[in-house]
Amino acid sequence: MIEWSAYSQLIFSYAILGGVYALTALGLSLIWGVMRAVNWAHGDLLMLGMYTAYWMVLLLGMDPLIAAIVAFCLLGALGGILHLIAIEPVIEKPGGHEATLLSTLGISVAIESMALILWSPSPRSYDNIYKGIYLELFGIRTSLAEAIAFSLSLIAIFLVDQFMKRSRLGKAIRAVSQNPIGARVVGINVSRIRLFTFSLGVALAGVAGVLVSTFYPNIMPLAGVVWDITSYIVVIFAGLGSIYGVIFSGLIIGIIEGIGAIIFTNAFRRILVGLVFLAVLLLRPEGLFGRALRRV
Amino acid sequence: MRRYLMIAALLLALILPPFLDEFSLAILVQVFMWAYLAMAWDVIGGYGGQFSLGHAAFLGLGAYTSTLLLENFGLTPWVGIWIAGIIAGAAGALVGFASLRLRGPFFALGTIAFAELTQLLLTYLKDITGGPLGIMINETGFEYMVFDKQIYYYYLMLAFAIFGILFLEYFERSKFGVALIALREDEDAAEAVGIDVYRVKVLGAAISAFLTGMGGTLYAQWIHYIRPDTLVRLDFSTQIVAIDVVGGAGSPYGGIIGALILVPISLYLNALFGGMIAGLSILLYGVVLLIVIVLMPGGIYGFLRRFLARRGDHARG
Amino acid sequence: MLEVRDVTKRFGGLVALNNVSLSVSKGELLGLIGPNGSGKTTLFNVITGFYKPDGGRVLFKGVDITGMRPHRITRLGIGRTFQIPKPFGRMTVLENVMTAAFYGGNASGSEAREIAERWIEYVKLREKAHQEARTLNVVERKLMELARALSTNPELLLLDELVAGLNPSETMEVANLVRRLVDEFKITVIMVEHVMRAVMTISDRVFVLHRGMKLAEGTPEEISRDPKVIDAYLGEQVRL
Repeated sequence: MIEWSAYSQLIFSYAILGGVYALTALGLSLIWGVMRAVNWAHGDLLMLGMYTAYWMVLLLGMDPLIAAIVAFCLLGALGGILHLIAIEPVIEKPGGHEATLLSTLGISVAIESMALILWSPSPRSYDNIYKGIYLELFGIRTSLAEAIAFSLSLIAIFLVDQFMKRSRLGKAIRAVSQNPIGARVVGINVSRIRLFTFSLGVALAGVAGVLVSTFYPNIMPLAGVVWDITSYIVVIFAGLGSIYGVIFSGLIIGIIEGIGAIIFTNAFRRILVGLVFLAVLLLRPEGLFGRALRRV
Repeated sequence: MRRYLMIAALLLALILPPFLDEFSLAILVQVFMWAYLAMAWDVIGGYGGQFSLGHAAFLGLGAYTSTLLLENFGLTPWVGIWIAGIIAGAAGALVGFASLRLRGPFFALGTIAFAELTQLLLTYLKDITGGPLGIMINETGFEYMVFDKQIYYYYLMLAFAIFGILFLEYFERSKFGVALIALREDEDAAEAVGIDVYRVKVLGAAISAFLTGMGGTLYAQWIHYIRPDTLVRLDFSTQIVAIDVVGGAGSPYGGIIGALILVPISLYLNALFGGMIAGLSILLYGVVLLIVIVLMPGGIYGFLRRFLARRGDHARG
Repeated sequence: MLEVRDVTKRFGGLVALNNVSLSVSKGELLGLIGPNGSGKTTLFNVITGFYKPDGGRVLFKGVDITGMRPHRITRLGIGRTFQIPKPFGRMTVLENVMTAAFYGGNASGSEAREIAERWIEYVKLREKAHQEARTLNVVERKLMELARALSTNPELLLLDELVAGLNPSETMEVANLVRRLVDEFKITVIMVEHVMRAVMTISDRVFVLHRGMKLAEGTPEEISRDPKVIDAYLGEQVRL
C-alpha cells in the first residue's frame, strides 16, 4: 500500500510537469503550423525564462508570477529578433524549412554556450513562497508551485486557443497555417504573421520556464536541451496542428516519465520516453490528434 | 586544375609529419578525424538532405562495440572496427526505418532522441558497459591500434580522411548516390521516376551510420578512454553537422575544408579559455553554423565554386 | 489499358472525387478537362499512387494498382508530369532525365545516356542539356519533365497541364509532340488541360470532370456541343 502511494506520488509530480510540457509544445506547434519551421532553440529559450525568474526574484525580490509577465515580454522580443536573424532570411528559399533546423540549432548552441560562460554550469534554484506551501489531494501531496504551474499552463493554453478563434490576428494565423498562398492572396502579410507567431511561441516558452523554475531544483544552462526533446515528443505525439491535443499528450508523456522513473530509477527515466517515442514514430507518426500527413 | 591542387595537398600532408611536434600532430589527427566524421554524416545529411542531429550516437555505439570486444575478448580493433561499423549501421537503419517514413523534422528528432536514449542506455547498463565510469583501453601496440607516437595516428586518420573523399567522389556518381541526390531535390519527383524513396533514405542512413561507427573505433583508440557522457554528446553531433555545413555539405570536400578551418580554431579557443569548459568552442560552432546557413548556404566549397565560375565567365569575357 | 472504377477521395470534409469511373484503351489519347478544382490532378495522384483513394479501384493492364507506392507504379509502366514542374534543381537536364532512365526505365549506364539524349532531343532541349535544371524557365522545365517521364519507358503517360502558359504557336508545337507520342511511339496518353484548342484538336476522346464527378464523355465534337459541358464552363466564365 505504501509502495503504491509513493508510486502514484511520483507519477503525479511528473504528470504535473506534463502541463508545462504542453505549454512549451503549444509554442512549437504554432510555429510549425504557421511556417513549417523547426525551432531547436525552444528549450534553451525556456531555460532563459528560468534564469529570468531567477534573477528577477534574487535581484529585485519580484514575485515569480510577475516575473512570468516580464519573461513573456522579454522572451517575446528576443524571439522576434531571433526570427529575423535565423528564420525569415531562409524560410522562403528552396530547402528553407530544413535550413531552419540548422540555423536554429546554431542559435540553440550559441545560447547554451553563452549561458555557460555567463552563469557557469552549476545548478541553481531559488526559494519562493509557493514552493513551501503544500496541498493534499486524494492522499497525494503537491506544492503550490507545481499546482499553480499546472493550472496556469492550462489557462494559458485556453487563452491562446480563444485568441486563435476570436481575434482577427488569431484567424489570420490560422489562415496562414492552413494555406499560406491563399492567405497572401487575401491580403494577409504572411511575414508579419510569421514574426508574430514565432515571438508568441517563444514568449510562451519563456513563461513555461518561469513556471517550472518555481519548483525545479536544477536551473542550469543545459537544462533546455532535455526540454527541447521532450516538447517535440509531445508535439509529435499529439499530432501537428492540434491545440488541445497537446494537453492530453503532455500529460501522457509526463506520466510515462513518472513510470520510467519507477522502472529505471529517476536518473534514467527518460529511457522509457525515448523508447516510447521510437515506437510512436514506427506505429503512428501522425500522432493521436493530428491532421493525417499526406502519405509520400 | 583541381586534381593538381589535391595531389599537391596530399603530398604536403604525407611529408609534413617528421617536421612537426607531437602537439601539432595531435591537432592534425583531430582535424582528419572530424573531417572523416563530417564526410560520413554528409552521405545522409548533405547528399540525402536528411539532417541527423544525433550522429554522436553512432560514434558512441561504434566506440563501445570495438572497445568491449577488445577488453572482453581481446579482439584486435583492426577487426573490431568493422563490427563497430555494422552495429552502428544497423542502429542507423533502425532509426531511419522509424523516422524517415514521413517528411518533415522526424529524422532530426528521431536521431536526437535516439542519441539521448543511447547515452542513457550506455550509462544504465553498467554491467556490460562499465556505466558512467567508462572503459579504459590499457593495451598497447600496433596490433591493438594503440600507438605511442602521434605520427602513426596521423597517417591512420589521414588514410581515413582520404578514403572519405574518394568514397564521396565515387558515391555522388553512383546509381545509388544519384537516387539519394534526386530525392533530396524533390521527393515526389524522385518517386515518380521510379525511385523507392523510403528504401534509399534508410539505406543512406545506414551507410552514414556505418562509416561513423568506424570513426568511433578510431576515436576510442586515440583517446584511450570512453565514457557515455563525454562521447555521446549533443556537442559532438552539432560539431559534425557544423563542420560539414560550413565546409560545404553535399560535396566530397566540405568535410575536410570545414575541419581544417574549425577544428584548430576551436582547440585554440579551448586552450585559451580553459576554465570555461566547452563553452567557448561550441559557441564558435553555433555561430558559424548560423552565419553559413543564412548567408552562404553552399558552405565554403559552394562559395568557392560559384566565385571561380563567375571569374571564369569574366575571363572568357 | 487503364480502368478507374468508382474512385472516391475525401480530404476531411471535402469530397474531391466522387465515384469516378473512367477507362482508357491502349493507343488512345484521352483529354481530361474540367473547371478548376474539379479533381483532375487529384485523379492523377490517385492513379499514380500519390494518394490512396477512400473507395474504388484502379486497374492497369488488368493488375490492381490501387494504393501502390508511386515508384512501383512508375516501374509498371505509368509515367507522369506534374502541374507545377518538379525538377531535380541542382542536377543538369541530362542528369535529370538519365536518373529517370536508370530507375524507371531500368536502363544500364550507357543505355540510360542514349535514352536520355534521345528524349531531350525530342522535346528540343538539346542546347540546355548541360545546364542546371533550376536555371530553366517554366516552359523548359515542363519540357524537361516530359523527357524525364518518357525516359521511364511508360506505356501510359499522364500529362498535367503541359501547355499551360505557352503562347499559341508553342502550344500547337507541344501538342503535336504529344500526338506523335501516340501515333509513332504507341504510348497511351491522358492529358489534363485547360487550353481547349490543344485538347480538342489532338484528343481521340474527351472526359469531363466537374466537382469530382463525371459530367460527360465522348469525342471532341460531341463534347464541344454538349449543353451540360457548355453550361459548366460558360457558367464558370460568367461567374468570373
